[in-house]
Amino acid sequence: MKIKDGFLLRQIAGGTVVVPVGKASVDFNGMITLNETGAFLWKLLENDISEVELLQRLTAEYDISEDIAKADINAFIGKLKDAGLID
Amino acid sequence: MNIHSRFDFTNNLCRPYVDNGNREPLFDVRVGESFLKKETEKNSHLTPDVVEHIFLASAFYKQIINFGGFLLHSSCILYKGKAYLFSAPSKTGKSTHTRLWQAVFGKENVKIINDDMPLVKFTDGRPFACGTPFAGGTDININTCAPIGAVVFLERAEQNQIERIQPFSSIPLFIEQTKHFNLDTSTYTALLDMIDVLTASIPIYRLRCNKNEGAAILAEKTIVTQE
Repeated sequence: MKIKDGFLLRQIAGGTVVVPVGKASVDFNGMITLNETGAFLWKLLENDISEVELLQRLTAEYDISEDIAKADINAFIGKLKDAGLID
Repeated sequence: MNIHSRFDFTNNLCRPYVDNGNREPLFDVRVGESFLKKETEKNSHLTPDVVEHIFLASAFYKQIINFGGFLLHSSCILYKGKAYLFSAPSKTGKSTHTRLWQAVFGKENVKIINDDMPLVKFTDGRPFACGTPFAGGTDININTCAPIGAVVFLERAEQNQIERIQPFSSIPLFIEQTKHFNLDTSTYTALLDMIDVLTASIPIYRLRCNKNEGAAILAEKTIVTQE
């Protein structure tokens, strides 16, 4: 699982945004704001990664239960899929 | 920079900006012959000189980002030595609002730097707003620069209300009104860097406003006297 090419993640004004660059801006004309966890997951998803590995990385980074981490990952991936941002 | 135009329309608008010094232009802006022909056919309600002007503006906008400036879709006034930029999507009433300032505070005190696309640039890390020959439908612009006092995002409302907004909350508004399209990674990074510096150095407001003079009075009281 991997986020499509053509997106720029950037720290700005104390937060994180993602914007489409080049040809990606034709299909996705907008922007995304991410919280800290979202930015963490987005960066991992810039390279191909399995859901199992995502879960391992998230629970290693943050002090949260596996159930909560799983729910967070599913919600995040669901949103990316809805927006057509994931292959 | 060099703006290459075939038509009087753009050349007349550029005349006040002509630099007679010997400085090397930073970059060229031009519209290709076959591209112009194709776009003029596609936009049959527009004349070729206007079509060329639109695409020159868009090329200028894109290139200037790599030279330390960007255009913010806004009506920009000069008032008491500072520039105030009123930004919003088209048809919200940016020009309408700055005309209210002129009506209330006097045309001699409120000059329009650029009615649609002022240039934001940085000198010694301080943000300035400047006129450009590209100024949208009204083509009102003057060749001057002034330090930016504030940026105000407008929304239409029945009742006038103004609030200061946090830098991060303003980022989507800036991105929407900087007319980005098909920017490459390094150009977009440069744009976001400038927006980052701008939002950290000046106050940003959201003004919900109607078309009455009270809107300008409330805005002036809030954004100018808080200095």
